[in-house]
Parts: sequence; C-alpha cells; structure tokens
Amino acid sequence: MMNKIIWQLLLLQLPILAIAQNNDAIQPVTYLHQSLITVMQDQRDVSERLAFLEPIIQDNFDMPVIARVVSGRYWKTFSPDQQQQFIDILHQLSVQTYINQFDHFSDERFEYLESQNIRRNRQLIKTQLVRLDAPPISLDYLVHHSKDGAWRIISVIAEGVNDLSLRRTEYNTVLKDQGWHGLIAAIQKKIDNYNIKHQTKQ
Amino acid sequence: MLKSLITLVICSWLLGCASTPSSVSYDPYESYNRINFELNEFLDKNLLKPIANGYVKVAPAPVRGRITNFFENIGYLNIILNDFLQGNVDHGLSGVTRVVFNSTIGIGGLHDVATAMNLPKRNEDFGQTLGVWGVGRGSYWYLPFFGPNTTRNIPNFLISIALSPLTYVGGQTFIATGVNAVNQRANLLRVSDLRDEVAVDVYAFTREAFLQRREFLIYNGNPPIEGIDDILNEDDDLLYEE
Repeated sequence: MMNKIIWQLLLLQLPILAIAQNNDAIQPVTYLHQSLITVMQDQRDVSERLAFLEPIIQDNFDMPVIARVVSGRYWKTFSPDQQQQFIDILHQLSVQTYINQFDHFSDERFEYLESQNIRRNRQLIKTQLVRLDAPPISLDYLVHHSKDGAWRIISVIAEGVNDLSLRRTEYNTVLKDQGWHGLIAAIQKKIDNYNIKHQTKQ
Repeated sequence: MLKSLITLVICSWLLGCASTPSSVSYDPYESYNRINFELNEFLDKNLLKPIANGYVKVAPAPVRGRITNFFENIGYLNIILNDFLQGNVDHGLSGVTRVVFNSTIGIGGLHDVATAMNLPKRNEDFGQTLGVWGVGRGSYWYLPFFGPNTTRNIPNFLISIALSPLTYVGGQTFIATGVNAVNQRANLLRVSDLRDEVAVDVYAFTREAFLQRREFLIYNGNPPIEGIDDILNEDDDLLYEE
C-alpha cells in the first residue's frame, strides 16, 4: 500500500518536472539568473562585467515592448528615432542597475518554483532568490512569446512590486511635465551617476 | 530652524490648493502629499540617514540584527492579533509560540530562535486585515514623519501604537522609539539607495512601490494573477496570439 502511494506521488511529480524542463518560457529567466551568478562571482573590471551582461539583457528582455508599455500613450507621439533612443537608454539603465545590485556573491542561489499560464503567449515564471542569512526574495517574471518566436522577459515582479507598471506610472508623470527630452535627460543622469560610482570604487 | 521648516510646509499646503491636479485617481491629495514627501526627504537626508550611516559604522551586523529582533519581537502582538482577525488561527497560535520562544530561549527577543524551529516571522497589520475583509484601499496619503499610507491603513496606526509595549515605558518611550527608527532606517539603507539610483520621479516611485507591496502582503505573497498583464492589453499590437 505504501509503495503504491509513493509511486502515485512520484508519477504526479513527473508532469511538473516535465513542464519545467520542456517549458521554453523559463529559458530567459534561467539565462538571466545564471548570468547574474556569474557576474556576482566575477572579480573583473566593471567595464568587462557590463560587456558580459549587455547581450544577455538584450537577448532575454523584450526592450522594445517594455519601452512601448512604460511610455504608455506617449509612445505614439515619439518619432522613430526617439523611440529607438528610448529603447536603447532603457537597455543601458537595466544593465547598469543589475551590475550595481549584483556586485558581490554571498552564496545566493536562484530557485525556480513554478510557471503559470496567463494567456497563450504569456506566462508568469515564479522564482526566489535564496540567501544564507536572510529570508528569500520573491522574484516573478512576466514573459511573453515575441513575434520572432523567442520567449523574453517583459517585467520583473520583486516582492510584489511590478517593475513594468511602476515605471509606467513614474515615467508618464515625467513625460506629462517634461516631455521626451526631460525623461531621456533624467534617465541619462541615472546612468551617468552609475558610471561615476564605478569610477569612484576603482 | 524647525519653526521655519514647519512654517514653510504649512504655507506650501495652503498654496497647494491652487496647484496642478493629481496625476492618478488614487492619489487625490498628490499636491499635499508631495509637499510632505519633500519634508520627509529633507529630514531623512539631513538627519536620519546620516545617523543611520554612523550607526552602521559603529554597530556590527550581528548587533544590529539583535536590535532588529528585539523590536520585532515586542511588536509581534499586532501580527498575532491580525492573524486571528483574518481567521488564520494556526498562524496566530504559531505567532504566540514564536514570541514565547524568542522571549525566553531567545533572551528577551534578542535572538530569533523561532525561525529555525519552523515558526517563521509573518507580516500582518490591521490595514491588511481590512483588505482581507474586503475593505477598499481608499486614497494614498503621504504623512509628515510617518511616510506612505492609505485610508484603509490609518486605523493600524493607532492600533499598533496601543499594542506596542514601547508606548507604556514612560520616559523611555522616546528613546526606545528613536533607537528603533534609526535601526529600521539602517536596515533600509540599501533599498533607499536603489530607489534613489533608479527613480526619475522619486515620489511616484515610492507611492507605486508602497501600494503594490501592500497588495502583495494582503495576499501573503501570493496575489492573484488575474489582471497582471492588463497594462499590456491596452495596446492592440501586443495582444497578438500565436
């Protein structure tokens, strides 16, 4: 009887493991996490770490969609050049933020928890950052199936705070008062501050 | 200098009557909230944060951890009460056990022995309880000194003060509250640095992060996924199906 129960429990687990292994939607999150561990353990110069992480962010985040969503109704008022500049500056800010936040390793590890379907081309990937001497941090990723066929991240939800909706509200306030130029200047200032911080550390 | 600051804030509130309308419907008092926000940021930058930075330099992490444990332990009654009010009897009873173990084996709450005994720390308050009971969030408030809040959470203010033993220690209340404030600020230094590094509108960033975090806590870290992609659905081009 006990063996039967154990086998049934094991068989129940197999589809979950299969989903985890065969679910392509998890890939961008996996690549990002593996890269962040590498960056945390990496003792190289910050410019080399930036160069390492830039293509990872480029490939695994759908920055054009993110840019479109966070600018809301103002997106269509930008010229094509302005749209591309906005995408590029968001990418730079993301890379800089990750490098700055994940700058040392203390035996953390990322743990996959589960995936939930939201609609046919969107999933919520639930993970957590497990730390040795502090409670884990909940990190959920909204991923979608891009038109080119790849799954990419469009939002990070850290401890319940949805990065996409937070930035949309914040950026729309700035766009309303200062327009595209004001927002770009404000984001560029953040990037410049990061560069000054890196130079000071070195 | 404090009198000048208060005069400036009151004048700003009065002038706020004629200021620009709110940017979002759930922040109808935005013009006043922004004034209070600037006051708090000024006090934080010039008073609390420097003290917290100095405290971090002189108090090693294990010492700060014990002080955090102590204040969390004596404030845990509010969490226990709200677990029961939300119908989480098991959690409430675990909370009682947690306080007993931390207060005794944990030497007056200095050591968090309960977490290792599978009695983890929970986060509940009366604002969350009202949310669980179905009460709407109400408006966003940014209060001088106390920071972000909502209409729904304001009763928790009074309840947490009434339930805290710190309220009843007479002349030591002020000192104990000050130590707690500095310790909590020290614990949030890295988070506030991140906020200052990435936010282009620090007020709006703080508001949105606070409100979303409150919803997360009401659902005990497991909010419903319905509506999670609503902002994507506003753009027809992003609603393509395979």
